[in-house]
Amino acid sequence: MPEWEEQLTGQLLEDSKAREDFLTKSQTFIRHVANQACFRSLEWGQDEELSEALIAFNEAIDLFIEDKGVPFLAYARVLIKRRLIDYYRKQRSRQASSLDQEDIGRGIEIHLSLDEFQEKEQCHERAAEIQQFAKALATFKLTFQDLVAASPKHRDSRETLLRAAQELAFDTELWSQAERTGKVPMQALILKTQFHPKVLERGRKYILAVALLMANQHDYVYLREYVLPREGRG
Amino acid sequence: MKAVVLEKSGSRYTVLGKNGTFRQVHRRLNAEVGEEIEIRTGIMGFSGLRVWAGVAALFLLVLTSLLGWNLYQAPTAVALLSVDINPSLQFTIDAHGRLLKFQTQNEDAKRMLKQIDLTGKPIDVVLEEIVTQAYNQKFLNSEQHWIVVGYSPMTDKTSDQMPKELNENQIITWVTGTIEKQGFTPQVVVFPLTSQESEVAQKGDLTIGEYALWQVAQKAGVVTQPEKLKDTSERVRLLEDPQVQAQIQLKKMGIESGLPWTPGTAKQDPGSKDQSNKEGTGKSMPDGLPSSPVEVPNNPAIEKGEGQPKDKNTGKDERKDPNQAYTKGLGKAKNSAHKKNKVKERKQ
Repeated sequence: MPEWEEQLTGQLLEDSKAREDFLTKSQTFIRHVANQACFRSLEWGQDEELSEALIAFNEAIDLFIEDKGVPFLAYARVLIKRRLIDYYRKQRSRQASSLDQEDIGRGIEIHLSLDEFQEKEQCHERAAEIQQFAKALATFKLTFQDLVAASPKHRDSRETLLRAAQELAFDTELWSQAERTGKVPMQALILKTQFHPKVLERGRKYILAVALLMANQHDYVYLREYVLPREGRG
Repeated sequence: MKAVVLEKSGSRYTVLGKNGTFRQVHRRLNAEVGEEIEIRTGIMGFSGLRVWAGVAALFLLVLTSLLGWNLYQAPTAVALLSVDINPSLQFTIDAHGRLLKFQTQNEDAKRMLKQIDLTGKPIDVVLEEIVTQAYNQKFLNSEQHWIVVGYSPMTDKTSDQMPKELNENQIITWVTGTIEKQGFTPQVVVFPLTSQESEVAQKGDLTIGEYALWQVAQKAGVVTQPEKLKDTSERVRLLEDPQVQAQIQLKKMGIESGLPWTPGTAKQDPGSKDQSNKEGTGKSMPDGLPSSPVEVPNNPAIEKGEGQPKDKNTGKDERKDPNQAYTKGLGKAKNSAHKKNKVKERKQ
């Protein structure tokens, strides 16, 4: 869970300043999701869609219950997308006066409770992420089968490679280089992490795939949960 | 562990586990891509099962090999046991107290053993069977009621491996148990020997019981030839000699007769005096047998009943260890037998 996301606690519901602070920090995510939903780049203060997305995100904070075991961003993302779809329908209905006013907004229910955010919905979301991940891997000439073969079996090796991937993903310069060349900048990563070159070389494909999930955390809100290094992970 | 299905291919799923591993698992449920499933991990995973199966197989292999090796390996003889009635036999037994094979047996024993197979049987059964057969075949009767039993470890190393039940009291119980029920009570003498003593006995072609009896007789001061102990009547004569019996009692009480052979203790047995006189000359016996190893010239003290026997030439104590006298006698026996053969050849 990214640092800003960790601020998501019960305190946000009561403390308006804390909520505003959290919303400010979440703007990147909100914009990213809105861009994806609208298929164009949106700008704060210019595009109304971002306001709608912000309202949806704020609602997600109100409705979210931490104990349900659902990633908050996944839930917020669904709410933002639904609200934007509804927003466009309303826009179209205004332009087409022949449409029955009662039908406006009937097509999609934007208010989605956590209970309604069922496993099926999540599976659908995850499947979409996996499809996107497979495409991204293909640009690096990687497949899931490659990752199965390259995946470290030993816990210590895995932890090392996960930390190396994190370093790569969160270093803007290194990750840009990796995206540009399609390869892990090995020398720079060795210098940065001080891990043994052989360990990193063996786990090259794994590092790249995991870094991909970590670097694009707004796209892979589900999948990144599987690869973020945690204390006591088995 | 939870894992998300990334790909379905054939009978397998490619999944991403909560611990960050990409792996392939067998399809059990009809999960779709994006669905979260529960997979078994660590030692209980599929590969873990294979490891356990391998370990189990290896364990079984080792176990089978060990069992096979133990079965294949011939049981080791750890002790010698002899029984002298008239049938006289000596056999080896293993650490479990089972008879392995007969080492020596006289003609009577051979005849008796033709009727029974004792190999592999426990020692108590073997002893009971031998004594019963001896009684049934009239080897044991009111005139000859003595049973001499001797036992020893095969080597010093096997003394610890000897069956615990191989002791004097137990042997007497085994030997007397069956025939006492038939109304006959034999006299049993049990001699425990060391491996060195049994080695010496075997060199002289005696059973360990016979050798032990000869030793006791020597210590009691009753002179006889070792080879004569093959004769039942000679054994009976010795066993019924009060001095020998006293010596046996001493030995039984665990007291080694460390006393010197004083004239009083080195009393010549009247029954054997004539023979010892003949044999004591150092000449061949009438039947050509070698003279006794404790023949008179070499051990005048015994014959004369003097206290400390001395060597004529050196003046040293000639009595020494009875084993030495015994082996020395064996050498002489061989020489005299050789001489006897030469005399026979000349006559022819």
